[in-house]
Amino acid sequence: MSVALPLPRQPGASLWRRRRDALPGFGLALGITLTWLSLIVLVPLSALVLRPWELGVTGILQVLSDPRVLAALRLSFGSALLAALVNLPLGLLVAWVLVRLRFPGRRVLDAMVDLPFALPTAVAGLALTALFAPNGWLGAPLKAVGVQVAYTPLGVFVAMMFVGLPFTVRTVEPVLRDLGTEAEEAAATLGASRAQALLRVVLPALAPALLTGFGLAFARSVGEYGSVIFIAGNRPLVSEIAPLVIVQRLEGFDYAGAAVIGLAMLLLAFVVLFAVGLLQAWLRPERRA
Amino acid sequence: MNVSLHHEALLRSAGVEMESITRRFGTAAALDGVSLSVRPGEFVALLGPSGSGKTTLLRILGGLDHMDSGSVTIGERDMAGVPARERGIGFVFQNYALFRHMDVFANIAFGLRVRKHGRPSSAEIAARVRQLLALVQIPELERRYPDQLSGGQRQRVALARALAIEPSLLLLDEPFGALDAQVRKDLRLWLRGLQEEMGITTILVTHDQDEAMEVADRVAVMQAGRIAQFGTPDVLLDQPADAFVAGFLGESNRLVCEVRGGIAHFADAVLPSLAVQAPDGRAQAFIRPHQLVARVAEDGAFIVRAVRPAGPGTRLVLSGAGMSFDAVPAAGEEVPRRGDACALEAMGARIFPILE
Repeated sequence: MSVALPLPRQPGASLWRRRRDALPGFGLALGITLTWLSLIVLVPLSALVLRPWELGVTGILQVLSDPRVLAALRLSFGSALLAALVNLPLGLLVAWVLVRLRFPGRRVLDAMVDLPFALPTAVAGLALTALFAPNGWLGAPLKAVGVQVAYTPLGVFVAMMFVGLPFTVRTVEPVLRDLGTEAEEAAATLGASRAQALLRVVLPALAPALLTGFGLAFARSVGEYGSVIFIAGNRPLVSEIAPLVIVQRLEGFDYAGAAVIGLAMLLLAFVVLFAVGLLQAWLRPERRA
Repeated sequence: MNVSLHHEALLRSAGVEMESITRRFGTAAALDGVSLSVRPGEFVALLGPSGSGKTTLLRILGGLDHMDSGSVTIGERDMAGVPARERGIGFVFQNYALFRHMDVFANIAFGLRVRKHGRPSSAEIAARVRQLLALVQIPELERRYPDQLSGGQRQRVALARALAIEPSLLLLDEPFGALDAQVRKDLRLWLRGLQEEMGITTILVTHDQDEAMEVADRVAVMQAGRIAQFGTPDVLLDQPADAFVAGFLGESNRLVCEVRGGIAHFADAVLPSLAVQAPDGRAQAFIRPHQLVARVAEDGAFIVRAVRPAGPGTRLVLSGAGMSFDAVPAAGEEVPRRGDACALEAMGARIFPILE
């Protein structure tokens, strides 16, 4: 293997070269990144994209038109979107409390936020199920007022909210901290009410972070398996999530069928995240500059 | 109509009365009985080292902090319980606190757009913003965002934004702190000119004495939550009220001396004794560089370390007796050179008894 020796350069060229080198390791860093990304992400995804074609177009359409598959996809994406949406104000509130307020136990609360990150998902699922089961601490009183959470789509939604919350909190928190109170104070001296300061100054500044939090929470929820399947009850056409349908197909050795559903999830998730990205680009100030 | 006239009158030049303002953070008093009276249209600087309470005082005036006791009257109005948004005070923050997601135009228009009563039409707002942009001399930056501006430009935007609400009082918190020396000098002269033109009462917080002395009609020197002295720059320099003010303002050589019978004897006889008007006892002597004369002398105890031209004359830095001195050469005599041995003599000093 030959090593390219640097050739003597024209003065101008060497200047250009030096300027590029101000940030060293460009080639190396990009090379490693691309290689790693290909191995970890691209190759498995291409396998996923290639596999379904074994069934042919009609086979794929057949899998996708299965009412059970359609219902599962609808439930997974609907609940994940809804859960991420509900996590927005909730996550913002928690981030606000963590950044702005000083109270005993703040550090405990801070640590608690990360629990859904750290907890094995199956443990979370069992805990939620026990809590919301018709005889559970929350399930029993809720049942008394006629609401059943466990073994219904509502349970899926609750589990997804649980796993998604830390993503919203942790993306908004640093931006909120960085924002400081000065901008709000400036708004106040200019005559803005509290609500105006929040709506016109704080929320727009947080919007990109909120969107990222939304995207991450959604992505986590839509692919969530462990914490959802226990509380969902997995009744076909009612409370069965798409990842579970995939697992069932795999257990029946229908690898191509599983890949079809996987591909559908991949595309749908891509569409949602792409939309989030577009919205973010639209919010960036330079757009209007 | 009457209401708006009253507003106009309040507007242009409100005086400010501060009465025994006290503010504690925990047990430490950030402000300890501060009273200060600012005349309508006046430019006052609050000058002091960090931690002297000057920013706290400014924030209390702006309604961004509360006081534990005391009162603030702006114009005719007692500000007790009046929130910041109802005070109509322009506040320029140290780091400008511009709204990052808004362009320059929107930043300046903010105060007009959030008005609940009597909000101007958007055409009126646009006209007003353009007028302010012209006033702060950056009309071409209307569509830029704060991160696309230099420090000096941001400063101008912050000022225009504060002026947009036609404040009765303008408060500036270290407005030039983040700028480099030349921009800072230009900007503060320009600000002074603008203030004079508009006649708006202005209070500026700074730790830079040159800045305070240059722009302000009167300067309040603050120390440890109190006003050490409040007066015109001349008075502060020529008649400092206490050792702190004398030491804080201007350059001076500081020496300990013992006063006996109207004669100051310097510790260890560093300098020849000097006739002064001060009571007997230990005292702190402040000798301005122009009051300290250096003569070339073979057996002189002081060595010239640096010689630099200063205006029409020359300034010397000498060392000796374990100290460093700023002095001038004796008039009409040979100017000492670096390395020369010199004798020093004080021609005058300001003496403050040391209270034990």
